[in-house]
Amino acid sequence: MQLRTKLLLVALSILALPWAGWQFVQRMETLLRQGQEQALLASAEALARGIAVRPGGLPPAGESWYVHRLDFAPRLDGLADDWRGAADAPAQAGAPRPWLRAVAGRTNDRLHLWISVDDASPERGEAHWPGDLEFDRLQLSLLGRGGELSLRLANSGTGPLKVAGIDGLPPPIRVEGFWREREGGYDVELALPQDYVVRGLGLQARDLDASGTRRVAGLPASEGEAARLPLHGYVGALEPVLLALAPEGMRARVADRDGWVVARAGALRADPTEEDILPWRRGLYRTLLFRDIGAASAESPDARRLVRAELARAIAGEPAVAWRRDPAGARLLLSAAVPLVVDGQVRGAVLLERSNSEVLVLTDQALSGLLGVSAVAFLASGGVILLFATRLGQRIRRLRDAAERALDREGRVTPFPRTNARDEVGDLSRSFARLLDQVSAYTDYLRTLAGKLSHELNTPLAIVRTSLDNLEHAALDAEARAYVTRARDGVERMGLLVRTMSEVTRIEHAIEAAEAEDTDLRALLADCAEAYRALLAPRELRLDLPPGPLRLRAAPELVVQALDKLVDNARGFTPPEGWVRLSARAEDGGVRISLANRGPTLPAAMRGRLFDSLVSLREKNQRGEGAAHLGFGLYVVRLVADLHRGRAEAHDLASGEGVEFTLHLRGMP
Amino acid sequence: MSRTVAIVEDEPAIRANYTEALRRHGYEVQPHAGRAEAQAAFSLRLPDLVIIDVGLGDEPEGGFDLCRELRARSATLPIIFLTARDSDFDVISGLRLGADDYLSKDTSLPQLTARIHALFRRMESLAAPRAKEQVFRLRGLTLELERMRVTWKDQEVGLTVTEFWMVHAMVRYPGHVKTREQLMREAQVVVDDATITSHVKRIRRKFEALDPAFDEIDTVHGAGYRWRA
Repeated sequence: MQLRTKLLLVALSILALPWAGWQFVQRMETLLRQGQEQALLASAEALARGIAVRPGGLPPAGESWYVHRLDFAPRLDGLADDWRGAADAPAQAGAPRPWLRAVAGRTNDRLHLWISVDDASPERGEAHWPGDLEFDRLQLSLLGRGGELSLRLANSGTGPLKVAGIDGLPPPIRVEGFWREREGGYDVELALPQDYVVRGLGLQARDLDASGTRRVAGLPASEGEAARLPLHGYVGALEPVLLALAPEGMRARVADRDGWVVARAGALRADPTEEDILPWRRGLYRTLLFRDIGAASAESPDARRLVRAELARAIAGEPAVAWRRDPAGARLLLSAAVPLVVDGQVRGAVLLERSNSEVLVLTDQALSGLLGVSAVAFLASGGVILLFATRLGQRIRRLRDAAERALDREGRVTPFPRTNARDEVGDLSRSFARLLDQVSAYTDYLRTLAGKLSHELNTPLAIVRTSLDNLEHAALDAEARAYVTRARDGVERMGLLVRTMSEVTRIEHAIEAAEAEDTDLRALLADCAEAYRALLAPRELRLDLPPGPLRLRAAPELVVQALDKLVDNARGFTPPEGWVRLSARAEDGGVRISLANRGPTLPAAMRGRLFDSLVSLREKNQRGEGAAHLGFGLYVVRLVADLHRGRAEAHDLASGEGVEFTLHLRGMP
Repeated sequence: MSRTVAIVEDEPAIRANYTEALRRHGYEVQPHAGRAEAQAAFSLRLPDLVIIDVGLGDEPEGGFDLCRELRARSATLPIIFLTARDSDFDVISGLRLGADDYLSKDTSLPQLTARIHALFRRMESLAAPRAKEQVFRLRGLTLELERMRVTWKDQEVGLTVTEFWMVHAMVRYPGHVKTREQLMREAQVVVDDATITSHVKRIRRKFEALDPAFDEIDTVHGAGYRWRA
């Protein structure tokens, strides 16, 4: 992976920025919501106080009947299916399990009742039967315009309701109704006359089982036959008050202590977030921002009864708020419930609801800003890092290139560019330069070592040689003379070695002093070939020269010396029955001289180092043939090639039967 | 009366060897270890021939300075340089110190004594009246064998003993190629090919200094050199 890519990956840590921003947005949103809670509670309390000033229409402080408002009069058939949900939560009585249920409703000032009794042991009778007879029956206690009135309701089977006074005589008012037997009990549906205004209502069910045991359940639960509860219901008069007091865009409802709605007004503002906020953002808020709010507002706006935790707490005397999701949109709904207190008694609760659309829009704007700023910051820092990484990468690449070029093709150290940069890359380049200086010094030392050594050896050699010369004149016996001869042989060989060692130095001096002259290399090669032919015998020398002259500005003696080395090298590796081929031709900008020979190919490990100083391919047994092979020959070839601004190459012949050494000469400057 | 040869050489073993060898040949030898010592002796009396090592003790080129002083005192005193470094040959010729020959230290004692004999013979022949002299003439070249003297178009060419012998080897058979080995043998010197090449180059240069149009020595690559017939 490139450094640049890595740094870019590191730069991804900037992505923590949007995360931090998101945390901020969340915190902000929470604060805003808390503010909304406070504000809504305050509004709700003001509303409650405003309503409590005129407590006339409010439900009574104690127990009472809730009378549903019915839009249509239900058919009197004993079935509650046409009560439109009003009978879903009836008042209940009876122990241990409630077995008496009753619901009151009103249409056009006519009071309807639906009563359901669970009775597994029917002991039915008729309403007008004598009062001291025991049978299953209902007793209705009314406080009406004409005073108190008690009615007895009992049928022996399904059919129009039989009504009698408590004494069994026909009742003073006409009560319409229907008694319907059902599995495990009976239902009664009845309606009081239209002009009969009821101020109190009591209901008692008497149930006799087969063993003659009687049980009684009542609403209210008191035992007395005349126990009655006041009635209350939906108060239309409160609607304008609520409308006037509730802030716009909020939904206000007043509920009695059982949660029955006694007044409602206002509506939630339409949800602007549907248009103002992008769909994906809405999804984001729903899943992330409102993670903590699980409950969705499930009830319909005109529900008859409110079953809510905050309402329960308000009725217990404590203001409360709750958040819910709006099932229709991204927003939340906030509801605040406060108790409705009149004269120190909780008469009900006020529930005020609003949405958090405004907060959500604000949050959305903040998030937009955050995203924008983050994007800009990310792009900017990413760009800066990319630039920096590119620059760093370039510097390191330059350093690498310089390091690769530090040693030229011949293994010599070229000047290493030093930078003044004070950072680690600069340090590295300086370390490289120092290291290369040392390598260079060491290489130079090695290169000149042979020359220096040969120079230092010359003096002791001269001592031995002159001593031997003097010894020739001393009176020696034959035995001693033999030793002198051997010593002289040794000295001569040593002298040859020393001269070989100093050859490079001498060639280098010769190169320094070399003078270019216009030379016909073809003639030169032809001259040399004649000399080489004798030298190479019995090996065959093949000559491949162009017909015309090959003119080049060159130092002919040095070219010949280089050729001598190549020929000597070829001679060492060519078997006696082999061949050596000397060829030359003009090439772009110079002359190419090749010497190919049959023989072993180049070992791969030595390729490229052949022309270095002190490199020899000859095996030990080959070295013993008098001439010393210290690995200077091809180095001399390289020096001569360099002098002619050319280069020396060695490669295997394509046929694989030998090698070819090539001198590319460009001409001396 | 035997001739006096002074040897200035800082290496005691070599100095002793040379001294004994030359004494065996009948020369009176004055060995000196350093420049100061030699100068002191030379100020009393000049020897007939001086052999100087280029590097003297702490002075890498002390021999050159000594040579300059001697040459200033006597234009004819034969001086032979001995060097351990082949590269000094170029310095010697470059400095034009007026040495009569320079040899590397691989030179054997017989080769050294041959040069000393030659130099003394030249001095004698220069001093003696011009007798029947063996002289080669070829175009502008005149080579007097006894006097070891070469002139080109009547101008004397200042060749060293080694160079004189090389020219002599080529001139004796003009047109014949003399290989490097032959030149080496004739010049009584054992050096490598490259040194022969630089000797020939220096010979050419000495002629060219007198006559820029000089082009009598041919190089036959891979073979050797020849004087044009």
